[in-house]
Amino acid sequence: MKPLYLYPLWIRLWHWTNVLLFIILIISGASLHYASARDWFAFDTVMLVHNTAGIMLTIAWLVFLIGNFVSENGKHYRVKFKGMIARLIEQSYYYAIGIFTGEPHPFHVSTEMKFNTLQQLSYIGVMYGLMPVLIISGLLFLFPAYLPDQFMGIGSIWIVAMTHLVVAYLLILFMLTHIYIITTGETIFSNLQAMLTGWHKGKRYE
Amino acid sequence: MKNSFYVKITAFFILLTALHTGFANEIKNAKTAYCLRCHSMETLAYRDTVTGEIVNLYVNFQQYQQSNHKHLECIACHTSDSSNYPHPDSVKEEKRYCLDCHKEDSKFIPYQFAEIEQAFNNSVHAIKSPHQFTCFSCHDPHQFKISRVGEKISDIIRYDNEICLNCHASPLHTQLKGSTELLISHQWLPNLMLHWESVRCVECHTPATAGFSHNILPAKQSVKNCVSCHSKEATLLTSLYQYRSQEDLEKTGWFNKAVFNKAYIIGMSRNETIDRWSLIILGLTLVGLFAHGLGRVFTHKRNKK
Repeated sequence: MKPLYLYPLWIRLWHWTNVLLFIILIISGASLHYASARDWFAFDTVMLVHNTAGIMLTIAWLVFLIGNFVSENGKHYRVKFKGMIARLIEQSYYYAIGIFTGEPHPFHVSTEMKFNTLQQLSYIGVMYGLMPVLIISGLLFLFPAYLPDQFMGIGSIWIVAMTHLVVAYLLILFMLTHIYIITTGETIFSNLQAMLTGWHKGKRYE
Repeated sequence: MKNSFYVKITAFFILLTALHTGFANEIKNAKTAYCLRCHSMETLAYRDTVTGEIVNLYVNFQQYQQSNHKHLECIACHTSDSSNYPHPDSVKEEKRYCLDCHKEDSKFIPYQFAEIEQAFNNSVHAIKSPHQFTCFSCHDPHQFKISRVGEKISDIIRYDNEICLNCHASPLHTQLKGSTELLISHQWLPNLMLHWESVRCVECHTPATAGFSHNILPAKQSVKNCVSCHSKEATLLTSLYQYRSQEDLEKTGWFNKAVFNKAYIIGMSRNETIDRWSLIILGLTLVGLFAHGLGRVFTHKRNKK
């Protein structure tokens, strides 16, 4: 079987832009969040970096949204509900046990579907769930003048701050898991290589 | 003509004395009443020949009646012989100190006078003016009330702040440091007047401790971090952040507001519980992933064999 061209240039550029922005946002965000008198970076500079990176991430997310709408890439995010639970169990079993006993991958990548169900659901959760919440809470942080003073008796900016914080932690959790999970491809680096070259290769395709 | 003047003056003093005698009769304690015949006169004062300062000798009877010391006779504290007038010079040398009475008495233990003394000794007042500054510089024992529960909070704040302003906004102080000194040093506070009306000076000018501390800090060490107050309560945080944000928006416009966002307040997103649990979960995830990876390495070798 021939190698598959799964990641067009715009997806790769978008992905690596996200990587860079995530790293910048995590470092600057942690620096702002845990700011103290003895910080490595100047507070004002970090704030400028975090806000700029946040706005760029928002643009990147819009590119992803529009790209998925106008290109074929959107099909990978359409959930097939039929047999979904069984596929989820199968994939989870593989990560929990099968991977240690040398069992073959239960999912085979194709141009029709490049994500296994577990992957697909987590990406949908991140891109269509957490990211909009992160972006909206970030924008509300920048323009709180348009918020009501209180929401259900609680100061609304506090709700925004806590939402932004929790989502940020969840996205770090996602990133750690994502970085590890990509090593579970055909070889440790095959998925990473695919995201760099666009071509998905593996023993099966050689 | 001249005689008429003396007659009027004499009549005035007779009337004044009569008034005060009647007024002093309201006081049950005869010795205290005797003192208050003179000391309840608002204008009773003298100029200290050494310092040149006016020494106020007036005791507000109404306030004294409501104070914690109302049951004490004057001579309980003023131990020099003041039975005759003019009083002897030794009266001026009297050294009075709260802890003379309050330290050993077991009923005052809850008020922690020993801690108060220690905190006071560390305060900028005691350090800068060790001899001039005493408890009485702030707390007038003739009107001191430890608790004013039931009074309007704004009245309590005003009362407490007046203690500070008696000196820090006094003519002498403004003469030395300029009439706008207080305004300039507090310029960084948004809604300055609202803060002064709603917050006691000591909230920022003492260390953040569970109870109230008598350790008045030097100006440079005082709280200048808005979050110390504004993140304790979510509604306060919102009003502060929105105020700063609105100000930014008006001054700099949309784009600059978004990029520079000067409104962000250090620590405003902090939440100990969320931080602690998130870091624990992230740590456990890392450990889990590492263990999973190790397991893969070992089983891969075994499977190869």
